Amino acid sequence: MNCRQVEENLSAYLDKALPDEEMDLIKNHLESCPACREEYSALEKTVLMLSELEDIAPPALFRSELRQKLKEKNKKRFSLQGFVPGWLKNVRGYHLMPIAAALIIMLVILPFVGNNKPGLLKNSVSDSDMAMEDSSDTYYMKTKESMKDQVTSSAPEGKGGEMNFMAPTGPAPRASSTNESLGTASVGLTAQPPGEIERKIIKNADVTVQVDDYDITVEAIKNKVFAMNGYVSNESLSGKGTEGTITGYLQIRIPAVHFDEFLSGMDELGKVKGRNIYTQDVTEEYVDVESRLKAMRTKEERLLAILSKSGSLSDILAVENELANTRAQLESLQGRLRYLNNRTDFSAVSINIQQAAASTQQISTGGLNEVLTKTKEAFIKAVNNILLGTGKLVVFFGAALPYLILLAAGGAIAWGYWLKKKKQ
Amino acid sequence: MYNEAELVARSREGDIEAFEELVCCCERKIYTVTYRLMGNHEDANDLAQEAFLRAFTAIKNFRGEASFLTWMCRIATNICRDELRKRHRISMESLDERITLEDGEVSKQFASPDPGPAEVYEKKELQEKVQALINTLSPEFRLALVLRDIQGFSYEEIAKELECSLGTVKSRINRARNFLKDRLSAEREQNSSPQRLYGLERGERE
Repeated sequence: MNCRQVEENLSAYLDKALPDEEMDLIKNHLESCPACREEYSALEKTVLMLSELEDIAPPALFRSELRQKLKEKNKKRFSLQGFVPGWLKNVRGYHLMPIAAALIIMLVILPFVGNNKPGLLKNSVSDSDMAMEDSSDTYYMKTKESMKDQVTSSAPEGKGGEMNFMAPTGPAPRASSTNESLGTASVGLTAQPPGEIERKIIKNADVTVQVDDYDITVEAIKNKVFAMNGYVSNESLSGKGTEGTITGYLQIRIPAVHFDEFLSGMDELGKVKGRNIYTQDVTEEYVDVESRLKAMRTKEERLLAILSKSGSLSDILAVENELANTRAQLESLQGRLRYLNNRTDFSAVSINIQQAAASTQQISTGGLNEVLTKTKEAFIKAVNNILLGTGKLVVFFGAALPYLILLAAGGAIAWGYWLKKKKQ
Repeated sequence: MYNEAELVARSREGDIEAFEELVCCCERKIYTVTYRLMGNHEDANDLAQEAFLRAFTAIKNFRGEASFLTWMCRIATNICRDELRKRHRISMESLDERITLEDGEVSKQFASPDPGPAEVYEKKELQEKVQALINTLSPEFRLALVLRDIQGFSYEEIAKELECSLGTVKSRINRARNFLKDRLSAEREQNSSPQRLYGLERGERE
């Protein structure tokens, strides 16, 4: 053992904190080497001096200050301190830095993980779509006829003729009675001599009903609508709620003659929670379109008559041109008329159907079973979510790996630089 | 006079007087530890009080495996260690005055109350001089030295306390002691009558 090695272990030797063989080696060396012996002696004195350092009495106020602080602490301890875990109190700002960094990274990451952006994480798209499927059971049924502003040529038979008005006797009194009872719109028009012009009124309604059984109600409504020669234009069922609530939406069109009858029938289906009836008097527009149509007809006949008298080619062409224009306008007016007819003949009724959580009319027997099934479903769902989430994370980190490597490389360089600077 | 276990049990219930009895027995030791580590009375006072406060709130974790004093020493050391490391980090950026040794470094930390070498020389009290020298050690060396030579912990205990290897502890204690030894002898050389001052003259005992 040389002097340098001895010097390194001298302090531990002094404390007898070395293995026996090393103790012996150093002991032997010290006996033979005066320089190290001197060194040892000086070290021993230093240590002795350190151990002889006297204890220092705390300042006079130490005890009273401490008492004050203890009392404050005691108050806090029984009000608030008890709820704060011990380790939390030792948390310093710099302890939180990694956590904050992790949070920031998570915040940056999460939108990417959550979103099904094409290109990024393609694999996860199908997974999450699959997960979506059972969470909300929505379907949207749109029949051909439901295209709202589309002119319906498929209106029920009997109304097929393009200029066919409703039976003059039927709807007129009913319409006016509706107007009076609602006290809205078209009051000014009553000045016109009654009976001379048929009132054209569009009647729509929104109804919200609370029912005991969604499916039965929908079935009943449909039957009723079909019986009244109406049709369902829209149907949607929005997801079943957690407590067995179901909300759905039905839009139906029924002949205006059955409008009031249908609405009053809603009371039998369930509790009507809200009802809005809108009417729009389109008599004026109807009459206007009608008279313009008549004028166009006359014009068309006259043009045809002119055409039959042969003239010059340019004349014929001009007349033909005019005839085409007239016919286009004619078609358009006819379309508008058909639309107004359809709107007035068929009332639109929107029905919001809500199935309450528990049946109000009978005691639910399958309660426990339902709870068990739901628990099972929830459990499976949770497990699936965890698996999905883990999978997504793995995929994400796979995707992020190249960036992380780059970052690590950058960090290593920066660290190396810092170390170098520190060394200087 | 109650015994320690009883006082601890009462403190656990929030009895401040019982806790003060405990404080009474060890405040001197604890204050010494904080003073030796922090090097000035302001910090020593604050941190010793902080240590007792922390002990009071955490006394339910004290299971009486060691004595209350030992437990308190550990708390005080931890508090000082954290504080020293925190300050060291800050001073690393502001103070570049460091003495680099072979495999470690000893920072000169001239915090406000620390006296310079000239002042050290002027002071008549040996103890203050030694403390001033301890103050110039960087935190890790200071901790190792104080834990070993003031508090008398074993190497293993220090390694556990400072969360480092036994070898590191050995090397730090060795370095810190040698640093003190060298500085003291350097001063002695400047001094015309070292014997009177330190009693550290090499040939004294021979």
